[in-house]
Amino acid sequence: MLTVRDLSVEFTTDRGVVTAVDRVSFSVDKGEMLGIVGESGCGKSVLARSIIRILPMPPARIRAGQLTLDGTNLLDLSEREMQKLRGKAVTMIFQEPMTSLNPKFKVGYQIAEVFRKHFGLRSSEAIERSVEMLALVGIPDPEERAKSYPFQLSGGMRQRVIIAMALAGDPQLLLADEPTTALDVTIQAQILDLIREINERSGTSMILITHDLGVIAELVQRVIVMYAGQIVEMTTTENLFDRPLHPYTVGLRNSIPDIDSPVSKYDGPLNEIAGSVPALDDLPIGCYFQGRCPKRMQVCADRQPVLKEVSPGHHVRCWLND
Amino acid sequence: MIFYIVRRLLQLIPVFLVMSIVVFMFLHLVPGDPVDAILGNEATEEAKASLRARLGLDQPLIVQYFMWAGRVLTGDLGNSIVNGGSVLDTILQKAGVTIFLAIGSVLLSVIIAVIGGTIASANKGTWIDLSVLGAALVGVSIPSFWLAILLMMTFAVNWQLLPSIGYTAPAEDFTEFVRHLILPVVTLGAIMAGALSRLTRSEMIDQLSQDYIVTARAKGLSKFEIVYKHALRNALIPIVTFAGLELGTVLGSAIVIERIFSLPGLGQLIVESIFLRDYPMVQGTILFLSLIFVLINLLVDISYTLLDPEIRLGGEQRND
Amino acid sequence: MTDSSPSDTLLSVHELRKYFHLNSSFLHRSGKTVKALDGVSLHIKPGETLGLVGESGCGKTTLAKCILNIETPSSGQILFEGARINDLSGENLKSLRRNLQVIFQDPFGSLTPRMRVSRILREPLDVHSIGKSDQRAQLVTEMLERVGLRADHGTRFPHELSGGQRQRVAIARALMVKPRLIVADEPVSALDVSIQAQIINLLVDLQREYHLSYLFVSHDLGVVKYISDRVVVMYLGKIVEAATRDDLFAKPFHPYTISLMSAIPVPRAGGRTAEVDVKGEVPSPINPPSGCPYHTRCHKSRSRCTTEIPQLRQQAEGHYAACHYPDREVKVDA
Repeated sequence: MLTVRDLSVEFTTDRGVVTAVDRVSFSVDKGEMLGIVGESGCGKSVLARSIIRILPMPPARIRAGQLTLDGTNLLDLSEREMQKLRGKAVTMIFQEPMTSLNPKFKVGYQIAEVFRKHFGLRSSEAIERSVEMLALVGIPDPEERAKSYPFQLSGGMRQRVIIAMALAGDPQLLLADEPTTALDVTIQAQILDLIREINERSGTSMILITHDLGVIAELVQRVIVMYAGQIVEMTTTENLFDRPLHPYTVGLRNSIPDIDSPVSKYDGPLNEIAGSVPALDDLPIGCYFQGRCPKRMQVCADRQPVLKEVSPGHHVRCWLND
Repeated sequence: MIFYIVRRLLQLIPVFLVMSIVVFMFLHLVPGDPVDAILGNEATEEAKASLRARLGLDQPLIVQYFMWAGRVLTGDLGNSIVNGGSVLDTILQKAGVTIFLAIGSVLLSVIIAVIGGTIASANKGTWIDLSVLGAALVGVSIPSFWLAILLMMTFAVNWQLLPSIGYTAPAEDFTEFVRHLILPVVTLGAIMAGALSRLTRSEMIDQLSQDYIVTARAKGLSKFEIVYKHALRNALIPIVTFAGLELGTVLGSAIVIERIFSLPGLGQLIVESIFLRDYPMVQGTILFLSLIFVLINLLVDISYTLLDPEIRLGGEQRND
Repeated sequence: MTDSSPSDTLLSVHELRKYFHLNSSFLHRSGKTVKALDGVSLHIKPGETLGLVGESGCGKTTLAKCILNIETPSSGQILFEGARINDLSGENLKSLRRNLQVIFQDPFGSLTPRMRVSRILREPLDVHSIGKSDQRAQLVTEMLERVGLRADHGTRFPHELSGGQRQRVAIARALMVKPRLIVADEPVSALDVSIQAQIINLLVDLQREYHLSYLFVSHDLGVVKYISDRVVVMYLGKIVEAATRDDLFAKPFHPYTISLMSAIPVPRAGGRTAEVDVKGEVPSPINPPSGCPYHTRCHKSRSRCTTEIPQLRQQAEGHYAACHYPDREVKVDA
């Protein structure tokens, strides 16, 4: 349904051009939930924003071999044509429920904008549909809540409103950028359940961007691990946890103190990944992870590994698997 | 909401009290004796004393203040000690011009600033933005009297499109009234638009970088809807605050402009009364202007409740 | 949970309350009160880490602020080494600061942006007159190395460092005065996953080396489980459960603790196994529920829970929970 081939995003900065997303290729099937995991600066958010084309251009520049949604080449569309797709065929929700809604408009109105824009509904009808959407995402007393301003709602409620707004256009593809990161754990669990339920009911494909491997385990079937703008591993969720191949993936998985693990500080230190993510304008020759990798070899500093399919559906960018 | 307005009105009482004392004291502390001004230097001491007694100027200051304040509360601002006319009537007669000038120029500046500042912010960093910024800088830097004379030379003297100076009462000929006020309004409006458009631009740039703008884009809204509906709505509060302040300061600038364009407004009245040491007239006019200033601020505060639901509905807010 | 005698207690908090009055102004008083802390008691022993867990609005940050003397409690006592520290000022506050330091979630916001790192670290030495002035530069360099930075990091400004490095600077600054207790308020929450483990390991190492106590405030139960010796769970301004780390995670009594644990997404194929049984959201602290504060979300709630506030009671040796029906085995239909 969504096909991305050799997508790169470059930013012009004071210190020259940096590549935030580096020749990324993947696809999402209808109804599939794909996870993209990585740390800040790995390019996961930029990647999602480049698909829906809401990056500020300039300074951003998108290049791609292919970026098609249901056969439509998104890069060929004018801004006006793209506006017709945004909020309808493809939409995006963001991390901060506190700031992602306009504080000066009632939430019902903000959802209704989607119905007015994309379906040409009159305001009264659009508001009625908004109330239905609020009910759909589990907001109690939706008629009253539609008249609320964002500041009158809790973080969890606001995130439900944002999800309702995203679903209003009945999108084929929903991009969710850290949708539960800012929420309390009990609310996060409820929102994750809601997202799963929506996916099962409406068959909306989703790309879920997160730094939290726990959220990945909850929701998605397939995962992309990104590091310094590149895909370093792409596989099923099961493989990611049971047979991770890239040393970075392994490191991420082992460094998290797990609630189910009996390990305490008296059992020794946590496995840490040494050092920190290299700056995008200061990337090494060869593998970008070499400076932090416990399994570094000579070849890692000489040549950059390519993303290789080492078993069906399991891609990894590492010389160890060559 | 009504409760809020009542509360705000009650809070004005101490403000007025302090204001009246300042206005009263200020004039009594400046050098110069009105009795001398009225009777001339040759007058006898008896004549001076009897005039002092008649005007109440022989009483202790505190008594003079309460006598004056008591009359003010009944709406009596006294009579001019120069020509004996009622101060309030004179003020009301001259206030129209100044108020028209003030409101007209502020409205003009808001229109210029919101359009200019918004366009600049939506095209940040381009030549459009730079042109708006340049024009705003010119507006902020040039003195009002210079712009007034420049406009007068161009539109009145060279092209003869508008009258240069003078005034026609609106009751006489409204078109002429407006024609006479165009140049003064444009002068003040253009100058205030400079600062206000810079504020609008920076406020809009700030709003356009907020998360909710990205959400609006993801919904498929057009740039126009995002800028003029979503962002501008949020930028309005500082713009309105600043415009309200300008409406106050423009009353001061009016003194200069009214003199240049020979407009019989409150600015002219103050200047003339100060020269003549017409205490009641100066006091009355300043008190009147202060009252207007305070009321404008009240209106600005009330407008917050219309512009910002969080202020309007405050208290129901959740504590997360 | 305050059985231990004062002699082996570094910090103890007794029946601490902090009420905020809303919208109070000259002419208008709403009469609404937020009970941010409603009778909280706890203690921390030397060299121990006390984990403080709860969701937003539970009062954990207010508690930390009261202990740090940033907020003044409405009632109750805070004792540091047996001496009351509720309302210190001047020299007394300054000497408390030598023993009690803080690390915040956002190291960027807590480091002065226009100061170089070496000056940020030197300042506490100057303020507290520690060491001779020519020794202070040496102490700064040693501390930089101790927290895993290089000496040349001292010449940089906070914005020139990564998030993890900034948090190391914040830790170093707290340690400069050799405190006994550090309040760590969500110290790793803002950091990338790969950096979190580094900072946690550093905190554990430093604890051993300097015999530090931590009040470790966090919403992340995984981190708390790893680092804590004892854990306190808060909900709407009250402690609902308190126990040793082992007991709490092995056999939680309070339904809220159980739900909190089951709600955490687990990084493992298949994700969580347990159902999340927590309903709705945290009620507004302005109008907290009657009776048990948790009854509106509790799957075990019965009529008694809506009227009677459960007290913190010992359920097992050293394990306290505030619940009328703490028995895990009996499932009651609501």
